[in-house]
Amino acid sequence: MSATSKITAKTLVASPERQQEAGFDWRVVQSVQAGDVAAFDQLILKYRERVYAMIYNMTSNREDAADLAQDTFIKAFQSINRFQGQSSFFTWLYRIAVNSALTHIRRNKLRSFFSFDKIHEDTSVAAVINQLTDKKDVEREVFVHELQERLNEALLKLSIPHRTVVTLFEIDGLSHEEIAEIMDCSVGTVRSRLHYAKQLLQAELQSYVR
Amino acid sequence: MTNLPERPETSRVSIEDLLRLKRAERPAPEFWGRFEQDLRAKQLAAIVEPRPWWIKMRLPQVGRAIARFQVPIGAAAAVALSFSVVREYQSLDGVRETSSLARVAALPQSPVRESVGGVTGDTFARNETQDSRTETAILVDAAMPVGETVAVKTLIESLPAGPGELLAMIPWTAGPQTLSGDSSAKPVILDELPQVYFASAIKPAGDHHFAGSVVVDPIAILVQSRIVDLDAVAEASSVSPREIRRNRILASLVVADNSTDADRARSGHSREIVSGDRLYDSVSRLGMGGDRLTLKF
Repeated sequence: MSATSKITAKTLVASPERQQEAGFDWRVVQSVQAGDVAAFDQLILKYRERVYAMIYNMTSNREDAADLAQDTFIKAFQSINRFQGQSSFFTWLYRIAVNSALTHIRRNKLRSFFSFDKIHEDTSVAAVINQLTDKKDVEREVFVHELQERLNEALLKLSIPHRTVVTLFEIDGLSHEEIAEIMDCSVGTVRSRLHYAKQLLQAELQSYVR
Repeated sequence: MTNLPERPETSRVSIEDLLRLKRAERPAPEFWGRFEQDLRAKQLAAIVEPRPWWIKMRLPQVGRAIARFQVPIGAAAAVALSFSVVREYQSLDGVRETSSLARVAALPQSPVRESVGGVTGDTFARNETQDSRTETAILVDAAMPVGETVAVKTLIESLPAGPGELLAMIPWTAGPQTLSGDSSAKPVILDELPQVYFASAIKPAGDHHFAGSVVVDPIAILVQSRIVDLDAVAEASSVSPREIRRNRILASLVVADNSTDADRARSGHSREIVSGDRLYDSVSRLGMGGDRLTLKF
């Protein structure tokens, strides 16, 4: 997700674009509820990457993230008849995913293993890495891998609510309101947690941040 | 990693920039093919395997459905709870009140007729219409839950003799021939009887009037029959309310009169074995008004 799309996502709560998207999802959900099971595949294709990415950034383990993302879609499919359109399908699906991830993290608090996906360097990411190091080739890859480890370690040092807020806001690009709805808390709480989490991350990653 | 990374002097990286790197972590395209296969397999497994009962029951929907009845259900539960508590309290009070009467049972002049041959309880009733005082003993099978039987014993000597003191409310479950004082009569099981006889109810002024007095002392009987310990009765914690209720019913059948040991020795016993439930039914159908005994069928 680029910076542009990130900004767009933060302002999508009441935007016509988001409303149109929510309306499309609702129609698909209604057709699934009416018996068209295959229509659910559209929702899987549309949201699988975002759901997986969110869970991956919460757990820092790609295998766990894949399992949990699949479980999220299965739970959503099994409970689709209970979805009444009071919130957007995306928010509802994210809430299932967040709850699954939190349950998994709490159960496996004592045993967590890193398992990273590769960083796909687009323009903005390459610029950040170039600012951090001027190494080339293999050394650069090693540096990026070490940076990945440090980032994940710093995220895992956050408490679960703070990690969730940071993941949803900074990585997944959700708005404060959406996060508040997903986490069932106030917008002020989201902002407060986000501020505190950034301070902790800053302290942990001060060797990289200026 | 303890060493600081080598950075150009002009680098200005923020936390948001670093987190952007996390956003760029994405799986390879072939990953989604495997993801799709696994998801299909899990979907099939989820369809095939039975869902848990709490999901089948749709408890949240049920909860929402009965939400409107929360107040009446809560009120009914509160009333039922208070009613049961009051009942327990009253039954314990009854035990405490009658515990003083239990001391009467310990008096030495109170003869106790022990049960014989596995028969654990006797109820004695006095029939003064006979020339020789006939004592009718009713063997009572209390149908205790653990298979025990209640030994019901009477206090006879502790009361003065005299006609018209209290009319015995004992169902004469034996036939007339049993009441005549035939000691050789075999015990009669109530289930084998064609009908329950209430001689005094049929003709109170006739041959079946009672001249003796009646004492109902359930705790004394229970104590002497070793069913209820005095301490236990005092504490009233080890005896369940159901047992207390049953024992009270059984004890209400106990009749003591002013007959002597010699008289009782002369008299014959008509014995009947009555189940606890039948006994309870019999008693509950009895009533007394004026000089008449009534029986409801």
